[in-house]
Amino acid sequence: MKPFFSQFMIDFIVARRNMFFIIVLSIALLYSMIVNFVIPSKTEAYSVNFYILDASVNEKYKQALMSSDYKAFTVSSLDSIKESMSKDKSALGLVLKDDGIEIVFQGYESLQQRNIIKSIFSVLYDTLNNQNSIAAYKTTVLKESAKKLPLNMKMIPVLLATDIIMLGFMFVAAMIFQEKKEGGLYAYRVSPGGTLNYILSKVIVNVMISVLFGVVFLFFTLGFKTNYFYFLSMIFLGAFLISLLGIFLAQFYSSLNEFIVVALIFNAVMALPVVSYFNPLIDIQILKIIPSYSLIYASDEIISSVKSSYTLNTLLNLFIQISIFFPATYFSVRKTLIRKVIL
Amino acid sequence: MISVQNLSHKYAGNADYSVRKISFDIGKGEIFGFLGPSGAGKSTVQKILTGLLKKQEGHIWIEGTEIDLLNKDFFEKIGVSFELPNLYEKLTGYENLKYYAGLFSKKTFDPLQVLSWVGLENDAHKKASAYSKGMKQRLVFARAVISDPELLFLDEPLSGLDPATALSVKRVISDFKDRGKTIFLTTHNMFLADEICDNVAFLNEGQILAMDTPKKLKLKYGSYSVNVEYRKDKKNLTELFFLDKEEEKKRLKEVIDRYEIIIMHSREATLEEIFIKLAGRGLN
Repeated sequence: MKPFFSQFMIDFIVARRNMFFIIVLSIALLYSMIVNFVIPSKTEAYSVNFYILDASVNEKYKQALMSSDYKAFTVSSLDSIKESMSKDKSALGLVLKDDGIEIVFQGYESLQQRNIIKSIFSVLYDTLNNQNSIAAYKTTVLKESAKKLPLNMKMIPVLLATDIIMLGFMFVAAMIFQEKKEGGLYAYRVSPGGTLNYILSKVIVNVMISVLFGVVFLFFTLGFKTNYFYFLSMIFLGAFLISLLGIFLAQFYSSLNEFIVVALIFNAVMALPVVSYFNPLIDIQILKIIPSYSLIYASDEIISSVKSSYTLNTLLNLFIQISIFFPATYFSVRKTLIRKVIL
Repeated sequence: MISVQNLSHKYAGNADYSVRKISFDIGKGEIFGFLGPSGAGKSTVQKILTGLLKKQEGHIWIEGTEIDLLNKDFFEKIGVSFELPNLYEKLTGYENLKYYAGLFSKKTFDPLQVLSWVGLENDAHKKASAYSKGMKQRLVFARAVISDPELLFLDEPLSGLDPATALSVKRVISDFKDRGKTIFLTTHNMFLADEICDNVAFLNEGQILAMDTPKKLKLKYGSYSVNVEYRKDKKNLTELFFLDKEEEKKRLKEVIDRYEIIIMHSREATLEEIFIKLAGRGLN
């Protein structure tokens, strides 16, 4: 225990004097402010406004829209529709005729979105004109107990995973490169410190940094209204795994300059699940094996206060990955870092 | 304590061996000086002996155990001082020693006590990054001795030290010897070797040229030397002649016959002069 504690203290002091704790604390507070005061709880994408030509002949349709939950405005001409839409980028323009509807799109909508909008108006039009009354339908929503997160809350899992993964990965690599540059590693190699203490001390310091970030960030964004046990367990295991990955990769490079390309690729890959998170239609299976995927989705689940099956699975998966990766890191570090001299 | 037989080592990518079939023995409580110029292979041998480099050819026994079979306990017994400072620069001198000592299971010296041995007690709480090169060198030496090792490896321990500090370090080395510790000293400082080593080995281009006590080496190779100061072309010149070499004898006769002799006396050759004689090159 004494050798581990001594190496831990070296890494802890080095991390503290490198300002790692101050950096994550500042980022946690910055992210908290961004979530609380900068990112809105809703985006324009959720509130489509309609500009309807006042001279539209289909009164029934116009009344239906004007009395709907959407914000609908009447304007005097087609040019006015275009002008209003140029100022309101989330709006659609409509000209309601007896024999159908003319829809004015902004231009950035995808073909898929346009077809969905056309289908909605088509069904509505037919229903209002009693041409084809729509059959009664029933909807089933998967994850029905899940509450839909406001946009700013939806950013929390992304920001949390970003810090644990990207900063954690870079911090642990920086600690190794600093040791290589200063030569402390050479002295460690001729001490009885051993490989296990070397790896564990760095991992635990890095986990502490991530937990500090997590506690501050979650407290200032979610307060007491979340399950800290799940969150901290996930941060602990996630940071543990990422630290192992960082040590494993950094051992093969002699300086941060050489390592930076690897770090950029690693971080780019880790960022891919964010795309799927904000657009669930992009649900590529391979993304699910990236650690950030499970961290983001499990965080979402914890914040949503739904059944914790995915969170528990994530914790179990992280534990299994650590169990596999720890021996791999141990033996490679022992061979490459501890017993080999880079001349 | 240490027995080395036919040790050879070649670095990847190099055509020649850095160390070629060297053999030597170091007894317990002995200071063994490994002497030679830069690139002679001294540090390579030290790295192999400390487990930093894997042994390729030959045999090394430390306390009767083949080096390949040594385990973690071996590192409990050794202390290593490196030629270049390798410290945690963000840590203070005291912290560097305290936490390094903590890596050992056995009882170690008090860091402040060790810092006082090398004259760093007043700078104990300064960060290592603020130390001068000589201070860093002393801290590296202090780190090597803090665990009170049975076997001490010192690579150029006086490099960059002023005479007063060098004297303090030499005292610590002598104190360790007096307490029965074995010391493997790697240096190109022949005066240091002459002063504190029980046995020395001259290493040049990976091979041992000669090995014995400094006194015996001087008797064997330096007893017939004559130092002559003479006047030539209105200038005073000094030259050393080894009389066991026929050409140097002739040269001495020529100097005596042709020039005005100012001073001439027989003298004991230094280890450096013997090294030059054997290797045909200087130490720097």
